[in-house]
Amino acid sequence: MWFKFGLILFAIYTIVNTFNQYHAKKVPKSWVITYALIWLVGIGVAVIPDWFDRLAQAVGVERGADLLVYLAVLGLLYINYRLMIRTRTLEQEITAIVREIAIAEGQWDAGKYGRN
Amino acid sequence: MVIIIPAFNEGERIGAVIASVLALGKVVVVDDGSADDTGAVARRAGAVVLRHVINRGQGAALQTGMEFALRILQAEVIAHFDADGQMRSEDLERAGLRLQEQGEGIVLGSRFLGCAALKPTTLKPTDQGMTFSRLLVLQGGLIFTKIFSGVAVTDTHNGLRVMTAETAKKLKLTLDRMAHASEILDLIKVHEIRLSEVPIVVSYRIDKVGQSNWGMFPIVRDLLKKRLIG
Repeated sequence: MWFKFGLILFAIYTIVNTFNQYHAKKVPKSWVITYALIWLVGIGVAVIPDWFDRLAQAVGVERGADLLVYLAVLGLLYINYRLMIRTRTLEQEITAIVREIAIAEGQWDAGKYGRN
Repeated sequence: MVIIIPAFNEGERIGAVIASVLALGKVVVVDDGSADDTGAVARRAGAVVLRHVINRGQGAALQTGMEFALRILQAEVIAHFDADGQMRSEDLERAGLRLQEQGEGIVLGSRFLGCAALKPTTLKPTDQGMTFSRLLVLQGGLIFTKIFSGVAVTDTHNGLRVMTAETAKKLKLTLDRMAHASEILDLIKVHEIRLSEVPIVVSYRIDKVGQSNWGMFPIVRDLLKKRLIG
């Protein structure tokens, strides 16, 4: 009971917080919608667990809680994949900047010090 | 020939390395964010110095050197050479002559080819011998490369290469760290670049035995990551 109550409160807090961030132009609308949907599902599971059990059985999983864990694992794997792409892109951008600085400074160096 | 030498904290050795190859062409040292005086020593020794303001890895340094050689120096032939003093200038010269005969593509150095083949002589690093553990890692690398890149070479992670400008334009390195050597083989296969190998001798030293054997794990990780996310 207390766990459900805590989950609902945390979900509401998170949704409100995300909306505030959107109004402060810190996150895009797509992020607010996705995040709100995820936490609304969380509230749904807490309030009407039978509904989620029926949904789980409809897709071939015995319990709603199990389905939730599977979905969470898949979601985390996807987030990890996106972060890998983002990290690699950032690293390539950093290298590109470092490279351009080196080449720009090297042009002067080539004229002054380089021997043929 | 433009000789590109990526260097990281090689202030003690870079001067002698540049002196040994300066007669063969223009030397471009890419100082990859060294904390010592690598750049200043290289400049005094007669090299053009490009400085990465932060360390980005050997692959990134080589790509910086190649872009500089192509865009600014309009190089016709580009060579890669190591900064740690373990390679010999005569091997670079021989690789250059082989490329001249070949007329196109790339020439790679090999530690396991011909009469210069390096034999493991000891379980511990010595001044000349390659350790058995290093030999095992390198031979494993050959099998991995054969499966992964589909290129049959006798030595995969060797830093001596000589190529035409046309080839260098096709070898755009995106793997910044040590996996660039495998990426080069990938690109050779993809672009169907003409390839040959020349035997070279690498002198291993007690004070610095180059890359650790554990370095193979980040290399495999970077290659797999590139295949997974591009």
